[in-house]
Amino acid sequence: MREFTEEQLERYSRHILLAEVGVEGQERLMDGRVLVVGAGGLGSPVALYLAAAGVGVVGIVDNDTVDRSNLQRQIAHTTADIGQPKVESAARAMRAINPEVQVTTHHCFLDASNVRQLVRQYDFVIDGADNFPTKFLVNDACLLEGVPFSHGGILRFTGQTMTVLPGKSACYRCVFREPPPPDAVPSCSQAGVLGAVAGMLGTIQAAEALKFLTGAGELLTNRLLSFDALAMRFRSTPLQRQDNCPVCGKEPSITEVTDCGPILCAA
Amino acid sequence: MHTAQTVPSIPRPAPSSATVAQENSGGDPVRLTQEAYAEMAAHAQREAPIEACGYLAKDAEGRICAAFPMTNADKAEDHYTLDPAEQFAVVKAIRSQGLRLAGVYHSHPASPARPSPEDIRLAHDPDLLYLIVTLLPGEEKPVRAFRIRKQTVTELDLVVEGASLPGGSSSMSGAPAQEDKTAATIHRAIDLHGVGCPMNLVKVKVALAAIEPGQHLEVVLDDGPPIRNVPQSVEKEGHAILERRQLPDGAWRLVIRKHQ
Repeated sequence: MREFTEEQLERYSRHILLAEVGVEGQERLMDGRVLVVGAGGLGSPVALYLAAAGVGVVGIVDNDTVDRSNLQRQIAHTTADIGQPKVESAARAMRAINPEVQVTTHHCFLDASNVRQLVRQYDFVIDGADNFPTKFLVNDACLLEGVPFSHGGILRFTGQTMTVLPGKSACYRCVFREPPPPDAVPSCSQAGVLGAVAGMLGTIQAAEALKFLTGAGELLTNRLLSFDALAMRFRSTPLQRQDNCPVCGKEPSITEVTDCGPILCAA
Repeated sequence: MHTAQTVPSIPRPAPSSATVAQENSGGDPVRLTQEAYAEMAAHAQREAPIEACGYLAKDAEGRICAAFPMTNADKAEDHYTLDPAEQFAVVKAIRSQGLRLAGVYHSHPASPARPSPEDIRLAHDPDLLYLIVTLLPGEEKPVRAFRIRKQTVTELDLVVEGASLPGGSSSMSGAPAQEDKTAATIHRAIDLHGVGCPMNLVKVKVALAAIEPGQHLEVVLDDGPPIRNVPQSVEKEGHAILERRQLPDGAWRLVIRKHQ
């Protein structure tokens, strides 16, 4: 058993008290490695909660710099961080919460050339990307590498999320075959998004990562959870794996990752 | 002057220790010779009411075979300090007899053989054994052995070799004449005097995580919210409370069996 310091017992006491987490669960969190794709609206709360939870290694990948228009929802960044790389800004906020967590920053675009070797270094991946090509890229890479992940997306007052266990539960492509045509779905920068909706969805994703690492409860698999914050209604849509899924079906046509379209929006 | 004749008036080690050793799944028991035990016990008696203390030495087989009574520099009834001036000489004497330093013993003239918070705080050497002898009458275990690492106390099984039963001369390896089947073997003990909710429960959970299913944890909890809340939470997680008794100072002693 790991020897906890008095400070660690105090810091993680509210986890240790949970019957479903306990000492063993906290140890698993501290041994866990999670990659957060995107340090924006979803990635911010995810990264902060993973750091606070004491997850051993949190990787964060983003090529962007902090813009004033991000600050309404991307809570890992502050006004003083404007112009700084988001990964650096997020890492600072995470270390300020919990200096014990090892934060690995990847200041780059995630693309077909680097995604597989990046995701295979982690136990769990959070898709907090702001564009469809990256979401499909993360799905395909995680399925090919066998790394579980949480998909998440938000727009205006709505959000949707599902957790994928490769080969065991429905994947993103089982549900959404391919990216929509460019401009078919507006991006946050065009359509707007309520800041707190990013927190609502991101914290669901963070909770899924913590549940996966600790083994507590049931994951959000084979279900698409969606909500509309205007009406404040949540809906859970049952899903199942598709035999004709191009990446996890019986005769997969996707056996390697490809960059499947232009990056749609930057914020 | 102070020979083994004084020993029978001191509570004897529980004759079930041999059984205890077999039940312990974690490592070998600490072996203590009857001579070393008699020396410690006699020293404890003649120093009472102040705490007696000294070094313990082990032989090539790792058996604690000699106690070296030393001066309690504090001359206090509730704490002790080994006289620094004597420490060097005693360690030298231990070496000159071909023995090795095994640990430190001290007595609790009026309280159970359980490390006090101060004993835990001042136990700086993780490799030494800490033996405590109590003079309280009727104690199930008048001498107990502990390892104290980073403020965490682990009780080790202790076997007094060649210990004779009161009025008899049969050795412990012989027929277990008086096995006490009701007493719980303690595999780990934590003293949570002064530790409030919920950190006391956190510490109980950490201690439970460190023992095997079915093993026993002894916990001392403050009266009030701690004794009202902690046992409930422990039972809710499937562990069993085997014993629950209020101590003279108002605190509570629990024995918890870890769930299977």
